[in-house]
Amino acid sequence: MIEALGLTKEFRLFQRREGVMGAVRDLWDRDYQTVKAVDQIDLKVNRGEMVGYIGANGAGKSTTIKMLSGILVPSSGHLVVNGFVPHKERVEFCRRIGVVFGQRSQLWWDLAVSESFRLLSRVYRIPESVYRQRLDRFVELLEMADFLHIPVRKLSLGQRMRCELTAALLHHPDLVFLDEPTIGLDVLAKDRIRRFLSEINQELGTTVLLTTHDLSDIEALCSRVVMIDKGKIVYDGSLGKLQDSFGQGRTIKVDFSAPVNLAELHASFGHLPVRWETPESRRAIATFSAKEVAPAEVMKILIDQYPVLDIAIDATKIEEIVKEIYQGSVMV
Amino acid sequence: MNAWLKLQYEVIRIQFMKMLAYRVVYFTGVFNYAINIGAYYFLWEAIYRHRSLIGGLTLEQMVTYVAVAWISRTFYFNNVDREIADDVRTGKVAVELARPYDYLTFKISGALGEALFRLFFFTVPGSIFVYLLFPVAWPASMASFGWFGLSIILSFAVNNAINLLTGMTAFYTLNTTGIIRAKHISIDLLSGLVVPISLFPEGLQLWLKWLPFQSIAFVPTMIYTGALQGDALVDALSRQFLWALLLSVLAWALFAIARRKMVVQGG
Amino acid sequence: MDREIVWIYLQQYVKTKLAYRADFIIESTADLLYQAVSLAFVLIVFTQVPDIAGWTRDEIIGIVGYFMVPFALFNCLFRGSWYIRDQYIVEGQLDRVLIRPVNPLLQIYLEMIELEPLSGAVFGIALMGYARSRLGIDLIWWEPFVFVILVAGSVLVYGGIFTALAATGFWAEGRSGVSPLIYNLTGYGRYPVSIYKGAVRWVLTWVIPFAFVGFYPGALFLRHDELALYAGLTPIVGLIIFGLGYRYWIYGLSRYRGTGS
Repeated sequence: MIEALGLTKEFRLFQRREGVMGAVRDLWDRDYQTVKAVDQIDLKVNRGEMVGYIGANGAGKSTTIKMLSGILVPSSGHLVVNGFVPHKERVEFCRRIGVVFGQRSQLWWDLAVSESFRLLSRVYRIPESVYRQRLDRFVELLEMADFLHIPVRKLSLGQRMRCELTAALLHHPDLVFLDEPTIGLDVLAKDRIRRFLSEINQELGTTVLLTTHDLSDIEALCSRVVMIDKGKIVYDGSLGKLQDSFGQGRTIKVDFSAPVNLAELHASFGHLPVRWETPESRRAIATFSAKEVAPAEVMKILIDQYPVLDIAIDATKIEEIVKEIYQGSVMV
Repeated sequence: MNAWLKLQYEVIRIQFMKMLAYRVVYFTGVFNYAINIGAYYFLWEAIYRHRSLIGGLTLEQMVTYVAVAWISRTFYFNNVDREIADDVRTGKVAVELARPYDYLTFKISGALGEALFRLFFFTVPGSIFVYLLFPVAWPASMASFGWFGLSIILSFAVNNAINLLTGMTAFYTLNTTGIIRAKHISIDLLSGLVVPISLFPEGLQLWLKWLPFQSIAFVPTMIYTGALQGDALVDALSRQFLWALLLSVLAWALFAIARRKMVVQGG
Repeated sequence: MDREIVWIYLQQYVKTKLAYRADFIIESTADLLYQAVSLAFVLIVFTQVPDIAGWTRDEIIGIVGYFMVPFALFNCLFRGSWYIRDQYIVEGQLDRVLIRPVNPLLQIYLEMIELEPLSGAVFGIALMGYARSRLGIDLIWWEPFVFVILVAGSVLVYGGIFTALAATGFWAEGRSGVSPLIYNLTGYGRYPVSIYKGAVRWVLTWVIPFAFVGFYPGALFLRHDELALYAGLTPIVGLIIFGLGYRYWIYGLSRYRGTGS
C-alpha cells in the first residue's frame, strides 16, 4: 500500500538577525539554513494494516504524512502509495485516499455539516443512493444525528472530529492518514473514535496510518508502531516489541512479614545486577533489566529465602519509554 | 508621567521594529507609489498637450502637486482602522482593555511608530526616487517647506483620527471591510489626492471647505507649492489643527461609549 | 471535466452569502464607489478641457466603462489570487485543497468567489451604453458576442498575471508587495493607451499587456476600427498569458512546503 525508499524532505530556513541593525541587514542579506525534516526513511505498509506513526514535535511526522498524501513533493527518494506516485498523479491518487488533520478542519466552516458531506459526495463522485446509505451508517456509528444541520463553526471539538472522520471516509478510501485525530478530546470521545476506526478497518479493509501523541490510541488500534526522531525512523515493529526492546526495566515491590535489611538483600542477590531500596523496614523495591535478569529468578530467590507477604511486578509504561527515547536517554 | 512616556516610547519602538521585518513590502512600496504617480503624470502630460494652463496650474505645477500629494500619503497613511476592526472582531480588544494602559493611546503610539518608520523607509527614499523620475519642482521657499512639514504632521493627526473612528465602527457592525474600503476610496478623492480640489466644480468646492478631508492632502500640498501664503496659510493650518482636535475628541468619546457598551453587554 | 463541481461550489457560495446580506450590500457599494472615483477623475478633468490627446469625454467614458467589466469579473472570479499567499500557502490551507481530487487552483478560485464586484460590471455596461448613445453608435447584431469573447480574453490576461504573482508565494516567505504593484498598474489600462508616450504604450501592450483589458477591446465598441487588429488579439493574448501564469503556478506548487513539520 505504501512503499517508500530513501524518502527525504529538505527545508531551507531563514534565520532572522537580532536587533534593529540585524533587521536592517536582513533586508538585503539573508541567512539560510538547510534542515532535513525527513531523512532517508524506508517504510512499507501493507493493505489493511493499521500503523501508528509516532515521534516528538518537529521529528518529521507531519512532513512524512504530507509527502505520503501528495501535499508535499519529496526532495528525493522513491515513493509509491496505493499504486500512485502521490504528487505526480495527485487528482487520481486523492480519489482513493482520505486525510484528517486534527488541528485543521477540512469542512466548510459556514456550511451545515450535511451540506459539507453532500459537497464532498459530489467532489468524490459518490452515487446518490450509495452516499445516502453510507452517510446513514456513519451517522449511526458516530452518533451524529443531533448536529447534522449545524454549521461546522458551531460544533464542539469532539463533534467536529467525528465529522472530519466522516468527511475523510465517505468515499471509502483505500488508505486514510489520520494526523492527531483524538487531540484535545475527552476519554469518551476518544473511545468512540477508536471503536469507529477499528470497525471501519475490519469492515472495509482500510489501511490506516495514524500519528498521535496519545499512545493509548496506538495501544487500542495499531498492531504496528513506527517511530521517527530527527527525521529518521528509529523503530519499526510491534508495540509489544517496542516495550521489549526499550521497556526492559522492571520493578518488583515486595512486602515482608518481618523487617529486612538492605545489606542482606544485596548479599542474596550479589551475583545478579539488581538494585535494592528499602523505603520501609518491611518493604523493599528491586529495579533491574529483564534482559539481564529473569524476573522469575528474582521472585524465586525472594520466596525461597524471605518471609514474603506480597509481590507486585511492573513493566515500564510505554509513555515513559517513548519519553525516554524522545529525551535521548535510550540509545537505539 | 515618566513611566507613561517610557511605555509610549516602548510601544513606538516595538511598532517600528515590527515594520522592519517586512522586507519587500516597503521596497516595492516605493515603486508602487511611483507607478501611481506615473499613471497620473502620463495622463496629465496627455491632458496638457496643446494647452499650458488648466485650472490656473501649469503642467509642472500639476505634476508637482500629484507627486507631493502621493509622497505625503506615504507618511500619513496607516492601517489603524483595519487593526482596530480586527481586534474587535477577534475579541482581542477585550483582552487589551484588561491591560493597564489605555487601548486607544496604545493604538495611537503604534501609529506614531509606524509613521516614523514610514518617514525613514518610505517617504524619504520615495521622495528621492520620485524627484529623480519626474519633473517635480522644489518647494516654493524654505518657509513653505517648513510649514509643509508642520502641515503633514497635522494631516497625519486628522487621517489617524478618521481611521480610529472608522475602525471603531466594528463595535457596531460586522462588515468593516467594506466600510474601510469605502473610506479609503472617498478620502483619496475628497482629500484632493486624485485631482486638486481647485479643479472641482465650485459648488462642490464650497461643500468640501466644511469637511475635514482637504486637510489631509490638498492643504499640505498647496502649502508646498506656495499657493497658500499669509492669512490663507494661517487659516488652513488652523482648520487642520481644529479638525485633528475635534476628530480625536470624537474618537475618544466614541471609544468610551463603545467600552461601556462592551463592559455592560460583555462584548 | 469538473463542470458539476463548479456548479455545486457556486450553489454553496450563494447559500453562505445569503446569511450575510448586509455585507453583500456594503461590499457592492464599496466596489461601485471605487469605480465612481475613477469616473469622477474623468468628469472633473473634462470640466476643464474639451479633449485628452484627441479623445473626447464620451469616448473616454466608453473605454472606462469597458474596462470596468473585465475588471469586475476578475475581482469576482480570481479574487482567490489575493489570498493564495497568506491564507493558502503561509497558513497552510493549501493542504486541505491538495487532498481533494479536484484541480487545486480551480478549488481555490471557486472557494473565494465573490459576487459583489459584479455591480461594477453592470455600472461599466451602463457607461458604455451612455457613451455609445451620446456618440450615436447603434448596436450591431454581432457586438454582444464579440463583447463576451473580448471580455473573456481580458479577464484571462488579469487571471494569468495574478495567478503567476500569487505563485511567487511559494518562494518568498514574507509578504511581497509585487501584487499591489501590478494591481496599481491596471489603472493604466483604463484610459486610451495611445495617449501615453511610446515606451509606456509599448510596455502596456507587450510586456504587461493591460492595454488588452481596457483600451484595445474597449475602442472597438466606440468604432475605432483602426485598433480592431489589437482588439482581435485580446483573446489570444489572454490565452497565452493565462497559460503561462498557470504553468508558473504548477511549477511553484511543486515547491510547496506546507506549514509545521
